[in-house]
Amino acid sequence: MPKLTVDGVEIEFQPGEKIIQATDRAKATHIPRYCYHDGLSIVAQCRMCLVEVEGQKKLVTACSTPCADGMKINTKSPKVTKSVAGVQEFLLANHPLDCPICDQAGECSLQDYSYKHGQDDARTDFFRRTFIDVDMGPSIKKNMNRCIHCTRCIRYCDEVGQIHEMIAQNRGNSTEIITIDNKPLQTAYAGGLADVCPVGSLTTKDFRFKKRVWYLKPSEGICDGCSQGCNVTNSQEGNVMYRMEPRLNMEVNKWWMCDEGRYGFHHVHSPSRVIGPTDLRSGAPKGLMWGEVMPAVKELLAGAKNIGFFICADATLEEAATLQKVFPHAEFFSYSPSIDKSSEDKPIDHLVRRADKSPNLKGLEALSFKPYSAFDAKKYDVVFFVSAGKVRPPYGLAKLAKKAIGLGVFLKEELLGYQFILPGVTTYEKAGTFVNFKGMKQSFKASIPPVGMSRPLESLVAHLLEATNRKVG
Amino acid sequence: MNSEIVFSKYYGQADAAGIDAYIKNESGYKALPKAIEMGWDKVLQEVKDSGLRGRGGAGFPCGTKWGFIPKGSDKPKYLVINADESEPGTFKDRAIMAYQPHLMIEGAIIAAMTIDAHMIYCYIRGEYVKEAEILEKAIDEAYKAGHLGKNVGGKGYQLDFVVHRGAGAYICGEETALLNSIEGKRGEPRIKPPFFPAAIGLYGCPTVVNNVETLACVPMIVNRGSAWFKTFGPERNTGMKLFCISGHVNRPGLYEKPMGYPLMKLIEEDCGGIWKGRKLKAAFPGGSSSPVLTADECNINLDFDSLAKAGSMLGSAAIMIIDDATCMLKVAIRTAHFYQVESCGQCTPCREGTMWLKDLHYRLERGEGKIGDLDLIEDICNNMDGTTICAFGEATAWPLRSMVKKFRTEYEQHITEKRCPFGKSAHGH
Amino acid sequence: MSEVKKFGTAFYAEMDRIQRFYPNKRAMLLPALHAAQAERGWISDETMQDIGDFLGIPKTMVLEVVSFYHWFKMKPVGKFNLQFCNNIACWLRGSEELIHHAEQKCKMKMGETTKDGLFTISEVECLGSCGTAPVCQINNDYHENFDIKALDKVLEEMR
Repeated sequence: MPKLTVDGVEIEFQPGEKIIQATDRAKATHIPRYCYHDGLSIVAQCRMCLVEVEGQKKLVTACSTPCADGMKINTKSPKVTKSVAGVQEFLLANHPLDCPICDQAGECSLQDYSYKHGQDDARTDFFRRTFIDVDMGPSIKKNMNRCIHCTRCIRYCDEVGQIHEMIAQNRGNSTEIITIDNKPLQTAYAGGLADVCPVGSLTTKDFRFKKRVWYLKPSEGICDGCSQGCNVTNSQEGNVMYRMEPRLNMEVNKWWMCDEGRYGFHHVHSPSRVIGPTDLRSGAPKGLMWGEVMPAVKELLAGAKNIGFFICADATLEEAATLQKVFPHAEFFSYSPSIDKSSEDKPIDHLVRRADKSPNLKGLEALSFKPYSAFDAKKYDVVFFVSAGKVRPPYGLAKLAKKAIGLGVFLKEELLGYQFILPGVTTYEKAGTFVNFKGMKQSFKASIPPVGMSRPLESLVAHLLEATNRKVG
Repeated sequence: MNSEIVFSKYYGQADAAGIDAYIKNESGYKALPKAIEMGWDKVLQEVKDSGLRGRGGAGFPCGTKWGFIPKGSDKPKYLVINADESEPGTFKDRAIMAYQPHLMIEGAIIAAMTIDAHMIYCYIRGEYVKEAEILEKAIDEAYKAGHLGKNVGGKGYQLDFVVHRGAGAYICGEETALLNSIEGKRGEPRIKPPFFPAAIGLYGCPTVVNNVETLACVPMIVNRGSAWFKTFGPERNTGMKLFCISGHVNRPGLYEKPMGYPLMKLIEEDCGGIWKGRKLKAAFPGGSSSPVLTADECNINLDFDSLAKAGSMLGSAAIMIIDDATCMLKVAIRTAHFYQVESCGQCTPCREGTMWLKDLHYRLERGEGKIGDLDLIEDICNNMDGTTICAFGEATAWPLRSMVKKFRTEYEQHITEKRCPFGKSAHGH
Repeated sequence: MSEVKKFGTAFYAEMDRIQRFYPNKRAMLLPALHAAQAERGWISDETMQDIGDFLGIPKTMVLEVVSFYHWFKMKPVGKFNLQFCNNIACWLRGSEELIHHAEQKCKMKMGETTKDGLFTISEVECLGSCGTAPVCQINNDYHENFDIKALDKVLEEMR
């Protein structure tokens, strides 16, 4: 493998790599950068990654300069330090002092690099250039005054969204980044603009002003919006979910995720969510304690011989397997809201979104669950409808069953036909495994504990066993 | 030193631009068949031997540039003529296109055939409307005479030529920005590596971009030989040259002289000296992007190497003369203003630095300057020099830094006296 | 390319003439904008949409180019567009006074148009005729060695 030296340390590189890619991969010195992003084309515009290469008179940008065998690179020479500090100062020249009101604070490249590479004092005291902001739609908030013109957003829309909708207007210091005619962004991936923007110029409206990022605790999750299984980072504070962001996985979603997935966690804390055991036999919902509801459930299940399980495909492998093991004589069906079998699944765009709007259909099929098309609600003495709140049974289906009990996450507006709701947990409140469309098993951890009086499925199963006078096996 | 006039003999004459006049007066379209007969390897060698250096501003050896085009590439090749001429002080390409368009066209045809290109674009600045019309007429004449089209030189060589008008952007004089502009994009320079035009140029194909005057030298080099071309000018700075003189001289205008001609001779003899009986104070030798010379430093020969050695540059040979009744800060303000307006805005040091410098200069003029501002101007220039995507950073930094250094006392007077020492509206009138 | 004819015959004739020199439609953008501005006087929002339709490129691609190049006017201009160079060589030869005089005579600032729509005055960068400074470009024509007398004549006589 060819080698080069950076700051006296020898590292290997792959032919074709740029200097910044080699140093990143080798976890050698961190070269500061704004416009460079692993998933976007290279423009070398910010000039922050300037380094010194032995034998070359001018400094070069590490993001655009290919590695060469035997290259000697210095990122800490006086010339580099001064130039980088100069670039940093230029970036702050027209940047408003918005930190106290800016969402990006705490995860802002401008703050981080200014601290590490910038000057101690500000020498600029002229009026900064200002703009009136364009409304870019429901997903993204644009603040043009904060823009550092790295053009990541323009490249993101061209290369990731594949719509030429973010452009630079005018030139020089008057350059303004806009969508045309004040139109909202059309791409289904608009939220990713907040990920790639190094500063607070593009932020998500969903998260705006909700929480300072240094309070957030991250955990590794898998999106439950479709069969892609984008890897995500869930962030919570005080057991409340605040946001989801994509997590890098080169085999699944790379750096990206769609808006539908990104903003699809609000059912977790929705006031519509049923978070306490509920008795619906008399029509109007009656909230009960766990100790009260189970005897009533036992009464309802007395004499039930044929049991059906209608499992929405947002159930984890572990939950599905547990139910199957504990109720070996019941019949199990899997349900995705958009397709019947995973063989009908297909991509619906050029990137990650898929037709199957459930995360684990393939996983349930592997357990020999039958498809929705084979389900006849009337066949069973009781049907258990299982949902994690993302994939919910068709409205009114429960009414077709002789008796219907909801296990999991249900909304108050969708309780038609159920006799009982035993509240369970969403994807974010448990650890588990999904199998994505490729057959990849992806496991995730819990982000928050169960909300309200909800209980994990294993706990519900124990209750049910008792109620149906069964034992395991 | 040969001082024969070869370029500008027919400037100002009606009908000089026509193909008939070109053929009659200037051995028009004799170089092309000669070049075809010589063979393109020989033509390339002849241009290399002549020492012809680019007349657009960079002074890069023309033959070497043509030699960069890969022979084995299966991509189409392009010859692009840089007629953007926007460097302040420059007006030579305009004269060539107005009075000798065929000289440029013939040179371009020879260049194109040397690099195996079948398409020539002439990128002419949008403001040169009249010159573009003259050029279109000349191109029609060349097509009719068979020097362009399907059968150039009777050898079945296909070669087309189109005039592509620019639209008011100085940065499009930078060769990669020019290519982006032809492609219908914003005129933003490309990063090198990887976008060296000889490798990845117009439409991603090998491209040579040459200045108008550079190409206008080619027919003469073919007709009369590289040895003849070398009789003009000192070693490594060969050829005749069009010098543009403007500013505070009695006879500003275009002057054809051999390379290496002394600047003081040009000012005092050819241009009739400084106007209104005043004295020389400073000069831009190579357009607004060149470091200024003080009066003492003007005892210098006008060629690439002599000026580079003196810490300045020949550039586009656009010489602007400034008299001793002029405030240098005001000259610097005009300069700073220009670069701020023309910055494309891509890279940080230029986009922010040009704005900052303009603001500082205007503040000094208004009497709001602080003594630290002068060191600050120099430091900003230092931070722009060598850190930008293209030479625009240097083009801004070099003149402004030279003026604040060489005329520091004048700047300081604006700060300490809070007024212009040359009076209310000091521009030499 | 759009079938509906939004421009005049000269526009389409020019596009037909140059089409074979360009491998893709986007590369025809600057020539198309020049032809459109020659016909309509300036580039309006509607014109940008028409150009985009004609070339088959999104309006965003047209706007980012039109707003970059200063020759393309994004506001209507007067019948006579007086563009004064105020760069170094012209400034050395008195352009500042010309500009001052123009602003006083027309009672407006650089960049504005007279109420009768006759004159627009604006400041531009180097026009490339420094030997005959000061220079003013009126529409497409260079007026060289321009002085206050010539300026007064233009303002009085040009209609």
